[in-house]
Amino acid sequence: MQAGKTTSARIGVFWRRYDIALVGSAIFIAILLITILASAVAPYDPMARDIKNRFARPSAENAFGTDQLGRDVLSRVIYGGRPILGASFSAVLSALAAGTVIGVAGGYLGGWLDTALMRLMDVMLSFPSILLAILIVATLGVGLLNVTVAIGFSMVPVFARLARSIVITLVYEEYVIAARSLGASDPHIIWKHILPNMMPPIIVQASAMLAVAIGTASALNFIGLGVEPGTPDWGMMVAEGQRLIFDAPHVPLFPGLVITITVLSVNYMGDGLRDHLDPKLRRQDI
Amino acid sequence: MFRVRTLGTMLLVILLLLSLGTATAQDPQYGGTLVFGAESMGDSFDIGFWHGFGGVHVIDTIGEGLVRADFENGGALPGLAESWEISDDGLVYTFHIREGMTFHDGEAVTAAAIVRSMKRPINPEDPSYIDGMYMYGNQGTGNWESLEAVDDHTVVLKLMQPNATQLLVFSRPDGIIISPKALDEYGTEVGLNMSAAGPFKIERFVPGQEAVLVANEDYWAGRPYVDQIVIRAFPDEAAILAALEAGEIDMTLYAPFTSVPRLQNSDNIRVEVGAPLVDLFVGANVAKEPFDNLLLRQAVNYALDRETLIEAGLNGFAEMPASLLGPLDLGFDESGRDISMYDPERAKALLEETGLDMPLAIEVAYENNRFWPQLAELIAGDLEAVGFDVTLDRLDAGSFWGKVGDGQTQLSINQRSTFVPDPHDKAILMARAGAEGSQTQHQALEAADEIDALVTAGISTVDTMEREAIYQEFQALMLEHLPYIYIGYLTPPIFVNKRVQNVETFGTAGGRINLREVWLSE
Repeated sequence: MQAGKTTSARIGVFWRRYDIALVGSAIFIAILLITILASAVAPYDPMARDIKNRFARPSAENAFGTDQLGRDVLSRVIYGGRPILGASFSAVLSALAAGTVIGVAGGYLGGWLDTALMRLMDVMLSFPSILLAILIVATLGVGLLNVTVAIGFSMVPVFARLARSIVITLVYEEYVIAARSLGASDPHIIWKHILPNMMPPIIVQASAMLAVAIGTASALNFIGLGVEPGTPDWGMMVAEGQRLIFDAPHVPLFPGLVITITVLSVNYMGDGLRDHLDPKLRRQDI
Repeated sequence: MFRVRTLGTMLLVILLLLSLGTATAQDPQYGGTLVFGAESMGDSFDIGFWHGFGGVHVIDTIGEGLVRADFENGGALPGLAESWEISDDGLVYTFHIREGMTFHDGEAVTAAAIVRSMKRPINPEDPSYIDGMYMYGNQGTGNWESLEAVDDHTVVLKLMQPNATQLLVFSRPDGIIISPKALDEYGTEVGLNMSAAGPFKIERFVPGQEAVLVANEDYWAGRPYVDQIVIRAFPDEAAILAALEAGEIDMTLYAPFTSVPRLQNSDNIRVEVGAPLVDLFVGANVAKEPFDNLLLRQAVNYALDRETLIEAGLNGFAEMPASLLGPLDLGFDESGRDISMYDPERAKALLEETGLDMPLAIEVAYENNRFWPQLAELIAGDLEAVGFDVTLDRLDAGSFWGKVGDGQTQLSINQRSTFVPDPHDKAILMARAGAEGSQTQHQALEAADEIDALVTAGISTVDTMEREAIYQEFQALMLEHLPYIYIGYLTPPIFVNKRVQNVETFGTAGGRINLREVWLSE
């Protein structure tokens, strides 16, 4: 009966099932594209000052108005995603890689190594991630690279714990036991049989952590631990515009709004991914 | 005839009533509570230690020293001393203490009580003594040969060297006199239980949050107009602004400058402009590369577009600078304006003359509050326009001063106000070798000894004309070596609810609020 469905009917069902996730994905992809193509899309140089045109309200010339130094807020918002999104993607990918290695090592090899690694991860998890990130930046020094390292580091245990929990169930799967009995080496088993099967939940986790990373990176840049002052960056723009909230609300409002929309869209995208990749949640009617 | 006379009488009566009505509306009124919004509130009011400006505001409102400062005209006004004489050689000060005054705890203000309070930082036997108390500014108590109460109402101070600012030193917040009963009863905790002799007394103090002060009915100059003053700390400028607009506070110095244009059109808020008492400057660390090079400091000086900095960075609330001293200071040298000017071509030529590779990477440090970030970005823009590659170093206040004190900055942006209307305060804090407030490490300057000698001469010379000449020479020397590059003289906006009347704008501009004469029209 399902085989008889038309393509449009399938799209309809897919849309009804994943509508918010699709909208979220579309918005996030649009934000990503705009950020990547900032130099082609932004109407003005984000650093160009026009002192005489300070605090201009949103208008045809400056869609989001101008800031305290007469810079175009829209152009700064467009460029402002680069530091945060760059840091967030890098942090999540690094944490994913490091966490997966630690989780697989602990789960697959077991023994004292597993105990040691997991206790270490427990200690790291006991700190709230933002506090851990602040602690790391305070130790390493201010800068976007250090913010990236800090966020990535604080997320490693999340991936490590998840990866380990998956691995310890996968090692008892029949295809893994079969591979082992056929004489396959450990690296071969991990690479060919375990990693491919653990990826869906890891990817879902990564999408959730990306939203957290964007929020954390914005917060760290807001409190001045990330980018240099004056750099177009959503968090920094909110920080610089905070004192203008009553006099020129457009200055902090637009970057703040973009942070919210970005985090929301990533969250919805993650929810959709989870629903689609989780065999228990996925329905077979599409 | 009768009718004309009757009409005339009625007209006269009406005019009289009208004039009475007008006079009543303008006469100061007693009563009401004034809430002042502060940027901080310390954990104590012990005058031997710094507790932020919130603490200074409380101390200034509850306390009184031997004299008070006249910020408008310069010089000293009578305080607990109703008069004084200074010997011709400037070494002996005889203070005549008012009779019949009491401290807030009811103790009589006597010469002996005053001497006891003043000797507190040099008397380890005193139960309230705390090691490390910093009092009486510049020369502290080190220049006192003796301080004695010769009778109940006469205090005689003998100095080792003349000190031209000695009178005004007693008007500082750390010059207020504390009740001997409080010193005995509370000892080292007296900062939490202050009993002074000023116009208001502490009713309640929540450390770190607020102090509630009530009018002192027995104040020697008469009870102040306002019944109660609350000095309350807020976490940031936006919170202060919100409280001001909501009518929760009546007065503050700490709302954002950027709000002034809007507030000037407000129905319930008035913005008054303070006197140009505060220097704004870029301090160059002359003990460290690259700003040990005078040509670079001169290049920074000519690179700054001060008109734009004042307009865009300070919303117009500053006057163009001349030198280290301000227009209200003794010996102010107007000619410094020719040096503190914008000439980017000259700045580029000076940079070329240094022979250094451009763009030259430098760091500019500043505090992450108030108008500093905005000003720093503008300064960075000006410096980059002539050939510097600027990294902005945004720091919280503690880290900023730590870095400055350790001599780790290259350029740092800050301000220097003065607690007394005398040039010596700025001179000693900014220019004496190794001074705590120096941001330039300028003991490394070749002219450091010469500058030091002028600072010393400025205080030990009593003759006003001679002092003027000394300070002019001092300013010229500072401009020649440029450890400081001047941005402007801050004329800070003072934000008040329209019901607050008779605000003193001179001392207030330097952070010395004076609420003695303030009254509320509702």
